[in-house]
Amino acid sequence: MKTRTAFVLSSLLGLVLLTGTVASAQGPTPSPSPQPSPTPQTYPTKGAVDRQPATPADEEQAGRYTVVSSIELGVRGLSVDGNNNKYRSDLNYGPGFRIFDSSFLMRTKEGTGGLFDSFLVNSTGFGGDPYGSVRVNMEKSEWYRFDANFRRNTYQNNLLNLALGQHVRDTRHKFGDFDLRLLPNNRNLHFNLGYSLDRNSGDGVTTFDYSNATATLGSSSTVRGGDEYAVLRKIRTRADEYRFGAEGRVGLIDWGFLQGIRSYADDSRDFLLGASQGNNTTNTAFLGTFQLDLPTHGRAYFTRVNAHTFLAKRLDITARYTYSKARSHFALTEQDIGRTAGSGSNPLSNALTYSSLITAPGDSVRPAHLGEIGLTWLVTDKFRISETLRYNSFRNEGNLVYTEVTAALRANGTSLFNPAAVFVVPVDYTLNYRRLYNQLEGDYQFGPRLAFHFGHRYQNRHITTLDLGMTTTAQAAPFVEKDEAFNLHSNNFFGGFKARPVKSWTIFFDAARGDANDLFTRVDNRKSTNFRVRNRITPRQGLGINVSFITRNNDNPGETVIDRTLVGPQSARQFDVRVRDRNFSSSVDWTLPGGRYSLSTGYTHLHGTTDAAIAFFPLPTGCVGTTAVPLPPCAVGRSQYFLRDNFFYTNVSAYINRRLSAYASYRISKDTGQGDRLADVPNRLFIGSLPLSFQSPEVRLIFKVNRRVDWNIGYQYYDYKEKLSTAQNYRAHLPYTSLRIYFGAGESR
Amino acid sequence: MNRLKVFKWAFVWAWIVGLVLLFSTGPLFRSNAAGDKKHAPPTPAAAQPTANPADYVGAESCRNCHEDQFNNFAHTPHAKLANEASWQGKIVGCEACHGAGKPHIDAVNAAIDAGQDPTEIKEQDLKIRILKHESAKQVSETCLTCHSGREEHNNYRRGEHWRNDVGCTDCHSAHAPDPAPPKAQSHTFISENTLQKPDSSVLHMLKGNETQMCLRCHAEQKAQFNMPFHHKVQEGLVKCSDCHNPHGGFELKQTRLANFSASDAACVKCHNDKAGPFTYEHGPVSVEGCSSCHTPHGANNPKLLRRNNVFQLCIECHTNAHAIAGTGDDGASNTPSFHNLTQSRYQNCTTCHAMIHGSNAHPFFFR
Repeated sequence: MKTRTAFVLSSLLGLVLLTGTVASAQGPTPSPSPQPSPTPQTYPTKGAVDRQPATPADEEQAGRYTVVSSIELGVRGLSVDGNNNKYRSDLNYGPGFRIFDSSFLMRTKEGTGGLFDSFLVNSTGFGGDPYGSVRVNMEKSEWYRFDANFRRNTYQNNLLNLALGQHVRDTRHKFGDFDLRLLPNNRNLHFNLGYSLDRNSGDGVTTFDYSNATATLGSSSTVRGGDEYAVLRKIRTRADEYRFGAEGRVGLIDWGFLQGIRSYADDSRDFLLGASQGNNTTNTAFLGTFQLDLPTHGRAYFTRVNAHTFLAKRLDITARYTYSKARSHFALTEQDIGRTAGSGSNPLSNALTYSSLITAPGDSVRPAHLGEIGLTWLVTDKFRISETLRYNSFRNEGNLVYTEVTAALRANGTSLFNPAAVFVVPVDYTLNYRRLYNQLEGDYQFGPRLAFHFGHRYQNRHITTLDLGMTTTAQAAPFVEKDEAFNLHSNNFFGGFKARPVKSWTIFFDAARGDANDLFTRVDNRKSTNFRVRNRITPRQGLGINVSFITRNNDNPGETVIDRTLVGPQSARQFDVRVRDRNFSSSVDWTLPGGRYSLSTGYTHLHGTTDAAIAFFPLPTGCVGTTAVPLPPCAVGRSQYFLRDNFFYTNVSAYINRRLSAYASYRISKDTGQGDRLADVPNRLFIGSLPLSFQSPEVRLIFKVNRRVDWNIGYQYYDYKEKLSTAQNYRAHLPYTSLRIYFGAGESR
Repeated sequence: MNRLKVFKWAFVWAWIVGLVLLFSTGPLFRSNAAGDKKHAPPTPAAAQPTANPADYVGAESCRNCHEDQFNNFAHTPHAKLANEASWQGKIVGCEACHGAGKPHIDAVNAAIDAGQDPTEIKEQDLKIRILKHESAKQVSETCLTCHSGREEHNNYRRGEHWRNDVGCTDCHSAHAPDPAPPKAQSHTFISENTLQKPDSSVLHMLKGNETQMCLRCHAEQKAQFNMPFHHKVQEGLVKCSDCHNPHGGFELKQTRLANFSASDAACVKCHNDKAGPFTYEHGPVSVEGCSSCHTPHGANNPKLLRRNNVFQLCIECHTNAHAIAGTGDDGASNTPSFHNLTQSRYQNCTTCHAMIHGSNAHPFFFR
């Protein structure tokens, strides 16, 4: 979709603004400063008159305070060629008037002030951009410190390559943290009060599989044969968290306490405005009416205590214990009227028309414990040993009573259930988790130029699941659907060093070797070998070079098993996973003496390959054949994923003269993905990658109109191109113009 | 013996040999007394029992020669400790970190009296502690003397930055740094704090904008933050320290995972509809964490997923070798046989399993 109109309107607004700016520039400055204007011929070296940091004399005076402030406001145009939904999912910048950012700092000239010593407000993108944040910091050091952080995200997700393009979000997400610390600098006692909020609301689309969903706990054999339907979702979630605590010192012990409560609510609902044929429009299934309400409200209480001491300047001991208990209540109400697809030679005659009412009230609870101890022994001034021990556990238990009342009619009008089937299914699902984690490490400092570290990690996890339920009300006792227990151990060794062979060159190296465990996620690492080398070179002031290389080899050898799904000779197969990452990064940051020109450029290559054996079923009947009715060997294949991302960026800033500054930037992220490799589904090879390029040049010119006003004009361009499909490609043009108005230190420029 | 065992044994022996050396040759570590003194773990002068109280002359004395540093320092919380009752009797100000000032002033005055340019005095003759020549750990120990009591800082000595010898003053300036000179910067990314545009990094005495400082070293993450899908960190919506504690923590990667929740607290703090508890938890979400399926910093794939094809992501876990072998089915179950993965219907797992993070009403996450 193109937004030419907005583009033209915004450009016109920009011109109006520009005219106003120029007019303003010709008038007197609103508040003349006693400071002399910078010498025009002064070269902008650091420390030169027109580039010096503000001093109280050239800041805005407000009684006992000085003020440094600026605000940038203007207009942005937008023109999008291609897939606007994808543009909005990635970037979502819109056209129109914007407050791009603002900054306001007020602080005492010396010592302490009245109500506050310092007061700072910063905002970025809050005046209409999709990613807005406001941060407030206010402090009177003897009495309080207040930090607030409020953010707003206009979120859009509307993609063709996810869930058949049917999972859509268009929401406004607001969240923030507000923390007040009383007596912040008091080393014996201070208090903390906090509040966090989270609000998410908007519209969306999701999908619902009607008949399989009801069949699972209900009439599985009779109603199955449906479809997936895109349904609307009204999203409304909220959470509020309140915290209070204190920290202080008694004798040699630093202690802390925090108590909090978090309440949350999800009142989202799914519904259908009209009858839908579903994703498979060739079958007879449809969903006539659908409404799903699942209000979920809950609370979580958490308590944290911690203590710390540093004995004899040799032994650092830290301990922390956290307990939390979250409980949520929910009540499902779902109403559906629809028809299944039917089967056989005449699907319509075998289809069922049905009406269901489903309710499922219940609750779930999760108490969790977390205990942690850390010890550091400064054996000598150069040699330290650290020990970290953690134990955490939680138990997740959910209960509900699933009730389904279904009336189903055959095509000939006879009812399947007379008058209706009622299933009442109490369910109790429990997940228990315990984890013990221990890390022992040491480090040795040979001097300012060389330091080593080395250590070992051990982890033990114990997980059990229990799923109790009943299929009918007539059943005497619940059955255990799945009862599992796992006990997993892993060990890791790591070590590394930091060295400065010469003053300007620092090398960081570390390596790790060991294993992890993978109860649910076998794509995660089992045996890993990781290396990381990072170089920082600063041959002269203003020039910094970074070069780093990281390798990660993760091998999950899996199990060598006899594949019984194959017909004929049953062979041993290894269900393995191999993950290889090779990442290279380099960057150069160069500022010319005096700061007149600066260059920042870099290149990063992310190289990742995953190759996993998978079990899958390409035929509806499955792959378990018999010698009498052989099926092709089809159950085992490989899944491969390739990431070959090349990221290059360069930023140039230039102070051309005291009236004109410029910025130019170019960023490109190009993933070549699988390259020439092709998937071979008949031979059970799946290959995934998303080769694409995403580039963005940007230019910006800053004209200094007068001591208080800068006029900015700039242009950004985004180009997104996928290699395998053009459906989501887009090009976006974002010209903008703005004014930055300074109060206070701007006068010293 | 496989390579891992060799590696394990090498580490075990290295520890044993190291400990034997430590206890049997203790003098080896103490032999370089002068060197040790030079690099002794610095503590604020207030904590040095051997320091002569008369040698502490106060920050105003420093101002005479170091006015720029003094002016910057005067705005910092460090400068205000002198007014705090709980800090009365403690050495605060410049001398808390640099040591007693009188020997330094005497040395400089003596040099001036001798006709020497004070800027040309050799550093070792200045009789003052110059932290820039010390190791990151030594400098950090100085800061920790006061800052380690708070929960946020308590694990610094066991954190990743410590381990890799990144010290407090790599990111912070105890004096508050000079504001950066103004320069033209990006329009959509948060820019460095400057003279005219201070941000909260100024109050926290950071040397620069937090995000930009982190990305200077963490270049891999910088590339990820420039992919089409990314957390809007460079845009200023979130900060690195929202999810990571740069001062160390009990968790790997210093993530803020375990503040009060059993699962990924850093993630569900904003994505609160994923927090649960759910009646039916999706195992990996509870046990392995969000990063099992998502790359948190950025990705080319939708929803920050680790695969562009969702079914590949799912089936790489839902391949149960035991079930194939007929020896059990513990862990992630195989997909049922009617899932014909050559059809797009079954390649888009979440069209049916829409509530994949956890469900209160359906064991297979349908609703």
